[in-house]
Amino acid sequence: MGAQILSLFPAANFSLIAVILALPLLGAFVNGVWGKRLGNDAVRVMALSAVGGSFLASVVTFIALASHVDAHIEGDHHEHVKLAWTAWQWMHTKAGFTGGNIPIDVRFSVDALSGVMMLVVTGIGFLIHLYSTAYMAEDPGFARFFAYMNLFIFAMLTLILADNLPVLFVGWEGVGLCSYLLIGFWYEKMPNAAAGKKAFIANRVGDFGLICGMFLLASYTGALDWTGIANGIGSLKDTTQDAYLIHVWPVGGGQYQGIFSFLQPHNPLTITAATAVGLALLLGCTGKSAQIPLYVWLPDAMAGPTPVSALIHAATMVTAGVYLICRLSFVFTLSPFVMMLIASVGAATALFAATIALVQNDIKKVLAYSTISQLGFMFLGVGVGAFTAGFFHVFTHAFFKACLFLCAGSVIHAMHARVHDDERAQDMRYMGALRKHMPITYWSFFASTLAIAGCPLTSGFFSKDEILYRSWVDHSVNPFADVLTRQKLEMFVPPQWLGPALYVVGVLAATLTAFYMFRALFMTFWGDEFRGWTIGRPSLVAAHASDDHDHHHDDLSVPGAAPKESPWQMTVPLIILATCAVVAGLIFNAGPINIPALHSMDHWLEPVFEPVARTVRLSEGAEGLTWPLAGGGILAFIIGTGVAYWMYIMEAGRPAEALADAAPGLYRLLLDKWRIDELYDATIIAAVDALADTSAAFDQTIVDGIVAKVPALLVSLFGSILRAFQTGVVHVYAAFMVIGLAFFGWFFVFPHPAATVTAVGKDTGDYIVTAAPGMGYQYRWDADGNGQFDSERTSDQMSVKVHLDEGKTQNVRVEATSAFGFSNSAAIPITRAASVKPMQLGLN
Amino acid sequence: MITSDNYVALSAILFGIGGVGFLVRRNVLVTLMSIEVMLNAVNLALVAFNRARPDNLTGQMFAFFLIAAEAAEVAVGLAIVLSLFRIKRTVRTDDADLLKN
Amino acid sequence: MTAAAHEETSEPTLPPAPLHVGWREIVILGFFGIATAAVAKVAPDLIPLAVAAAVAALVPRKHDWTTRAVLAAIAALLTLFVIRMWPAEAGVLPDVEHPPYEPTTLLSWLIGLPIAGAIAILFLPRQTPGLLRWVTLGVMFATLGASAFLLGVPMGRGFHFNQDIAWMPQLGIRYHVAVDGISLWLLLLTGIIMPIATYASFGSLQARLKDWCFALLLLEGAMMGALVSMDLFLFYVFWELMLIPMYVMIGVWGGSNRIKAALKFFLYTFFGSILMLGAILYVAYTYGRLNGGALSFDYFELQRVLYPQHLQIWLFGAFALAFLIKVPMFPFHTWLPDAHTEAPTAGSIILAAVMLKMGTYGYLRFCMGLFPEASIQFGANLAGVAVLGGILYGALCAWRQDDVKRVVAYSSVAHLGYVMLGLFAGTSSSIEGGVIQMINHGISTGALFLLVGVLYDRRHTRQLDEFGGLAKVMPVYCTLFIIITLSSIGLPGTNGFVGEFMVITGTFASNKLGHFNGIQAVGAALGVILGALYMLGVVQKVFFGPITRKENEKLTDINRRELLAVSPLVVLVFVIGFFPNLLLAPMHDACVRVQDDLEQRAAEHAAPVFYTGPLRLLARKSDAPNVPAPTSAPN
Repeated sequence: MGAQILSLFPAANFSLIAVILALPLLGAFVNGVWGKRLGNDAVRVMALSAVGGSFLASVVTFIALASHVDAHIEGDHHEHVKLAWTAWQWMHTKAGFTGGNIPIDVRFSVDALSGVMMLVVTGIGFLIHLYSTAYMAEDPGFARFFAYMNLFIFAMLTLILADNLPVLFVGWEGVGLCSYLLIGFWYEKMPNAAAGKKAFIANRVGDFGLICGMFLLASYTGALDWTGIANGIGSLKDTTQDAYLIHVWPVGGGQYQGIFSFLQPHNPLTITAATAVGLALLLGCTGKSAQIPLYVWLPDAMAGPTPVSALIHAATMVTAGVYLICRLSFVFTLSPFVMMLIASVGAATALFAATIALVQNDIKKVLAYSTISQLGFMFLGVGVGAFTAGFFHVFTHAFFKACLFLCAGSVIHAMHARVHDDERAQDMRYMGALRKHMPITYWSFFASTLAIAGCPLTSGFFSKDEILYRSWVDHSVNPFADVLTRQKLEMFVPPQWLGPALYVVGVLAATLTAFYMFRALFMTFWGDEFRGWTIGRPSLVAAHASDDHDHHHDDLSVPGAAPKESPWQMTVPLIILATCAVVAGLIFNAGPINIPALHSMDHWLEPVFEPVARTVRLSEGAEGLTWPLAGGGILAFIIGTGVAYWMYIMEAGRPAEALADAAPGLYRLLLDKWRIDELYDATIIAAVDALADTSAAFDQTIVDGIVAKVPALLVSLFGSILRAFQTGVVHVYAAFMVIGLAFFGWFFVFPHPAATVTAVGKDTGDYIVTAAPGMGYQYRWDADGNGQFDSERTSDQMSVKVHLDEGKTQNVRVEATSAFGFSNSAAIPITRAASVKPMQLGLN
Repeated sequence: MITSDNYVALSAILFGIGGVGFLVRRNVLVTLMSIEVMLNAVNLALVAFNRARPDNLTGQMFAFFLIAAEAAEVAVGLAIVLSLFRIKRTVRTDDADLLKN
Repeated sequence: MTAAAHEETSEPTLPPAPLHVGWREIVILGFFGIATAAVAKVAPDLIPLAVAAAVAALVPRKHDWTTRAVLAAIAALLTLFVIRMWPAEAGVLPDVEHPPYEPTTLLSWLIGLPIAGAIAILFLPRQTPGLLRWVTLGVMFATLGASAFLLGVPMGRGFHFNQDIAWMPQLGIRYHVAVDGISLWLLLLTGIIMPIATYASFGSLQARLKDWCFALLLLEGAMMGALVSMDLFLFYVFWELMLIPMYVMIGVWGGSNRIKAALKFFLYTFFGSILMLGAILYVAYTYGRLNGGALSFDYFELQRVLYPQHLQIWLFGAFALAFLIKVPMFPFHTWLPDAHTEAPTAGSIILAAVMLKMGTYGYLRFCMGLFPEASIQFGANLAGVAVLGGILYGALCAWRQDDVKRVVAYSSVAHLGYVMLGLFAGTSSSIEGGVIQMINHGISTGALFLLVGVLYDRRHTRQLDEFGGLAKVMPVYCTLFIIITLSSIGLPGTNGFVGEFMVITGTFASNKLGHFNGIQAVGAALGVILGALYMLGVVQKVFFGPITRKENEKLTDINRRELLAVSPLVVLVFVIGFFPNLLLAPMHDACVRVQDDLEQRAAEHAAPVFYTGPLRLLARKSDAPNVPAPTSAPN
């Protein structure tokens, strides 16, 4: 069948992907613009058909992909093939050091990795849409909700199917946006809006890292699409040129001269380009996948409707980080340091979040922290190079965590019938014995709890134990090893104790997981009596049936109807997901049990991770360790479950209270989530706040002051000086006038003789001296310069003619006499330069 | 006998008196009178010059022109003084500082 | 996410959203879709008409013909642009035998139409506001339609629609206008923004309508002129002419503190331009000395002059100061928030969307074109200023403002920091990113000011703490505001991302920033976080949470006029976000040309100790339109 599909859609231009993407977008558009007029039924049909159609198209695509893969199998090895579709040319950017121009197309592709994710997203997405049609039935924002949900599916598919980083980034931020909108779905409550903003900002911090990773990759590998990056990866390892080192300090390897010379470090701090890329991308992944240090947004994100928590904050979006690490595994494995960091962050997060989940009473909070913890397991897996195991955990986790959240939603739905206060409706202390009233929900929850707790033969067991096992035995090999040793360069080698340490931490986290999950199960569903409200007789039930949703009636002392099982739209998804949670491991695992008809996961993903297989080496004797190490996981499950059973069933929760009383400080600390939010508020956020305040004040006072006010001051200063002369008093003006008149009078009474000399012709020796005219002036001349005036009487003769020989100087004096008889004389020296005669050549 | 130089000297003295009056007196009317005195001094000088050079009557002509100009000037000046008096209830030039500020 | 989706939360008493789309409209839409497809088969030129007809038919019955006409015109123009901009398939070579017809007078039409309209306005009676409005809008739409012809010509590296007429021959001053792939988009932006701002302003502005229309048209003509003039004297004339109407608009129709703001605006910009005038005169004089006394203000002629370092630094400084004040760049940015807060809505839109671009465009065209060595030498330091003082500092300041307009104003400082960073980095993609960021900023910030004006008309305040929970009463408005906000913080898929991404990657790839290309790229990327911080803060404070004040409970949603005004911008946000290549393809070669010019000169004389010899006259650039150099001053 796949062959026919491929004949219809060639692998190079597999335009069926357009359908997968377009349907959810269409649904979002229709529901968003016309949802209100269409009415809830049409909205429901639109949303479900959009996602369902997308799911069907994905299945078809997957079948085609499978046949395409089979077609390319040569013996044991089968190469990495994908179905690609280029929509249009998006933009382009400069390839940096390689100089060329990188075209960035809107291009999508399906390979083994994205194919699985695509199925998970559309399949689980459809189930959760179906679930939501009942869960959100009475919400006034029904159409808006499904518009957002469809948009999210579209964005998530864009993220998964993208063939290059920028397009992936579109989906990456798109899912962040949808999460922002859906967390703040009930925006009338300010906490919800704040939680949405917090999520968006935390994700943005991660996106900052992703952007940095993008321009680093673009500059080093000269490409941004997966194939191009894989091909250009060589320049990241190219230790021959300096570019493979990034100078962190001094910035760019520069020199600080002058007053900044104290900044010059003794030994510059440099990292390899591969490490830089890895760190940048890792920041992005921690943001999206809620790992330390950016996990804080996820617990608050539970403010959104529960199906949102199931779809976005458990099954799909938060695994995007792990997906990206798998997608770019060949980049990450270039830097052993980054790999170690990923593994350590994962292990730390797994344990850390598990400790918080131990004491939470809000059922959604427990699940939220368990999600963070499970994501930590995934990071641990990919960090130690067990990409298949990590991704397999993504796969299984999607099932059981989605199922758990949906069960929680079902419970909350039932509680909401009477308890309209959200806090209380989600508080496990007000539940209990619900298995009697909601059996389907209970059994689904139970199955998923087994899976997440790692009960043998459930899906969670296979994925988690594979991770734990590999975390002990894997040793990532430094890809630079040979080059570095040849060049005598220092090389980062992860410590030997790291593997066992990671394993121990992982087992510890697994134990806690088993404990808190069963604690949740017992508190919610077991026990003898229901603590939510007193359950009345059938008659009262009938009486209260009317005001089940009367929001003014919250008097819980009045007996109410027993909590009811949810409608089929909600239970069917639960059943399907629970089944998958149990059997998925058996079907797809790489272990002893394997159904040959289907690819086992690691065989299926082998071509994707084939390039990195060389960089990870199993320590010797790993085979012998398989069962002993698996024993750790099983032990964790038994211990955790047993302790939980003893504490909450046999002893009815008394030991827990005893512990809480024994160490009240620790208990409070755990209940307050280690007060990490407060810590961030006090440090980073406070710092940025202070910085912003300073800048604003600086802008108001200093910048505006210096640039604007100082020139204004100068101008006003000059103005005030000049204004002093403008008294406005007539006499002062008159006085100035008289002074001026006096000056003119003096000027006219006493003559000021002056004369200009003009040469006649060119070097004739004749000069004409012309006196400056003056009112009523009369002149006497001394043209020959003998000191005697030529005439006794003054005359109107204004100019005299003078002849000079070469090189001679003569003082011509002129005397001017004003009309008042005062006279004055001036001397005008005239010099004639000695000209150079050309030499006479007696040729004639 | 009285030569034209005496007339010129007289006009110079009159002009000086008018100038000083114009500078030192604060009463607008007196200021105007001083201006009149100066103008009349100029008239006297013109006539005297005409006497000294009697070939044509240019000096006298100018004297007549000046008398007309004085009349106009007095009219305008007194009008200004009146409006100033209306505004500030004073005829002292010190208070006539409407241009200031 | 979109308009009607928010309506469930709105009271039934409120007037319904202005753009109703029901089954009837869907059917009509489908019908016209088929019709358009058919038309596209037989006569592709009629597509805009078909789209216009479809839109006009889609408008609900209750709206009068003016709504239909305006909507149809907008739709037709947008379609026309998309069709014109659509890149030709690969392999289709441009027809060299028959190059597309370039009317040399087109640019003069673009300048002349608005100015002629302004003069015509003077002769219209003050008592007929309707006539004044329609004439103004008509002239602006005519200009926009004329500017569509610019897209018919493949731009390439060179200059087009070249018109060169002697104006004052004795002084070598010519009326020389031309357009290349860079100024093309700013022209179109001006053509699109002006009618939008004008139409939006007609809602609230009643006083002195005639003077208002006159100022608007004069402003458009001046801005068009400044964008196309290739003669420095002509450029300076338009540059100053641009100043006056804006000064009047702030000073007459502004807010309570308008006089001070208008004066500040004028003094800041005028201070810079006076220095520039001196530099322009000196440059022309220098050219005259080198060219046997024949002065020239022509851009392409002055490009030939090679200045020694000490001289070039001063000339560059004079030009750069004028442009950087206009941009505005730290520390000369403080006139912007005051001007924006006091200006009327339309004034803010035009100021932010188009006028600030004059600074960036001027730097790109004149500073980098006339003084390449100096602009390379100072590029690294100025880029540091753009990152620290613009992107980061502007964002931090914006976060602390309590007046929405001030927030947007400071966000402009941050966005233009990206633009300037792209120009300083001087790689082709960073320059392209800078140019496209100019367009994006024009669209998103223009739309933001438009929407803020909507709120101001309702409440006559812009203080953030005056609002809260508006999403409940103004769902459509809230949706639009959020869309524009996302475009402003550069969410991928909106236009904002394209510019920022290209600038950042281009900056990191730049070799003109010394050691600091890496750290500056990282700093620019940090701005992404801060942008989300302050813009989402505004959204949360204004729209979410419970309604805190009584006055806000009865607010009416965005009305028809405002929706009409903002809808083209919202469309453009997504068009550019998804199909940026429509803009990038025509401008690519021009940006490569700028980069090549820079790098060629940098290769000849390496900064910081570049050319120190005597003044020289180089050969005329190959990309310059071929007009003979002035030989001797005709007297």
